[in-house]
Amino acid sequence: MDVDDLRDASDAALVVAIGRWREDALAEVYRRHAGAAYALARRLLNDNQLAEEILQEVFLRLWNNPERFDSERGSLRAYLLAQTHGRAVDLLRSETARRRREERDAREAPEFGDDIERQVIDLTVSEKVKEVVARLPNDERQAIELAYFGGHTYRQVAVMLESPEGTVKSRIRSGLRRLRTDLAEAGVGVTWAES
Amino acid sequence: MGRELSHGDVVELLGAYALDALDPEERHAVEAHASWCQQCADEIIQHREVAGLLTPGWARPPAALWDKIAASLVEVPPPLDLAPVIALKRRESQLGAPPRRAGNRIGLGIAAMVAAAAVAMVGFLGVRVSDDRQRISQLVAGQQGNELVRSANAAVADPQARKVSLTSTDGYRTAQAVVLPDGTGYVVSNNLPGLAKERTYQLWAVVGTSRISVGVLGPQVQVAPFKIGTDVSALAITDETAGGVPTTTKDPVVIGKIQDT
Repeated sequence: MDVDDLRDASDAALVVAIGRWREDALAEVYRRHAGAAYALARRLLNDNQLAEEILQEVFLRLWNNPERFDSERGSLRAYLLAQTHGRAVDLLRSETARRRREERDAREAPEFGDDIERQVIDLTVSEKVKEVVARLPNDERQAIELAYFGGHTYRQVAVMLESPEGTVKSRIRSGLRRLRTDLAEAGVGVTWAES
Repeated sequence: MGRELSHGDVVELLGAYALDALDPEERHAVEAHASWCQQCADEIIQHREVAGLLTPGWARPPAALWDKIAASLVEVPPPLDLAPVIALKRRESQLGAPPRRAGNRIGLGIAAMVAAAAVAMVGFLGVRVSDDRQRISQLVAGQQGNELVRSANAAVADPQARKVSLTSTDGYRTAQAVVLPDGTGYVVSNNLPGLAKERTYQLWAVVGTSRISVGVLGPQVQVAPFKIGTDVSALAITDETAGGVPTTTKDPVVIGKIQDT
């Protein structure tokens, strides 16, 4: 696969090339997915510098351990975003970042509640996704939003929403399952395997 | 972490797990369960695909960031301490190994007797374990540490490779290996804890009710090549005394079936 082919290569093929130490393949993966990962990290951390550090870590991990991505077990985008999210949440829960977030939350406290839907809508990728997310029951949407974009555990979400923990974890799961079904019906790709 | 969760308990946590919304204890419990429960592993993937679609669009990273990443790629991984791969004489001949050096024959004979006794006692097919590194030399001839990693990575990405997920009975310890159609395989990753110097991990191929040693992996398992025949149904790793043993009665630390492609 030469350089010109990389633009047309599937994500899975790019990861194979990365396994053969093709830096240009990593560059192509970066071109395709770094923006989404960066946006997610920045949204979670509210800190450009930390977001950059996470992005660097995620792409270096892909370079050093491409075998950890299995194209038969999900898309590369979802894999990279999950890596980004996990690392960002680790940072969020660290002491330093926690203080920073508490300061941010103190400033933005009024936005919890009524503004959650706006946040979700602002953050979604496409109109179709927005529509599907907007159709979610409020309690499911709030639980998902606080957990995913707020970086909170479901127990913390339960406290925030003044709901039982069991109810919140069930809402997160049922909300994600509903989203999957509705996104598929809306023609938005939720695939297991990279094409 | 001592709490074990039922399948039903874990299922309820899968959504929160996919969103990184669990406490560490529950996260470990879900990971342990999902390492052997395909249904739960599949659901986690589904949830993560959905979460990926909810990301806040696209934000262009600073131009200098890629330069920073690219600059750090020149740092190559450290040289690997390759694990010696040892195989039974009978199996070596099956695998086309080169003739043995004369100096090894005595050791081989002794080991073969030990192995034969072990077979009679425990029903396992014994193997000789020595410091004969011919097989690993053959496997990685011309390869440096980086080349081994590249070969392992290429094997992982090979669509014809069979993947082996080895798991402990409690699900906490895992190792992954791949096996190419020609029987060449690699232990590619693991979370096995480091052992004391007088201990070693040892890799076994399971053929029927027999366990055949295919490698002494050392006290800290790294990427390691091995070679097996076509009749191997599973791989296992045991904790043994340093240097390895010709046959084992130990329960495997991790074990996993070789999946069909």
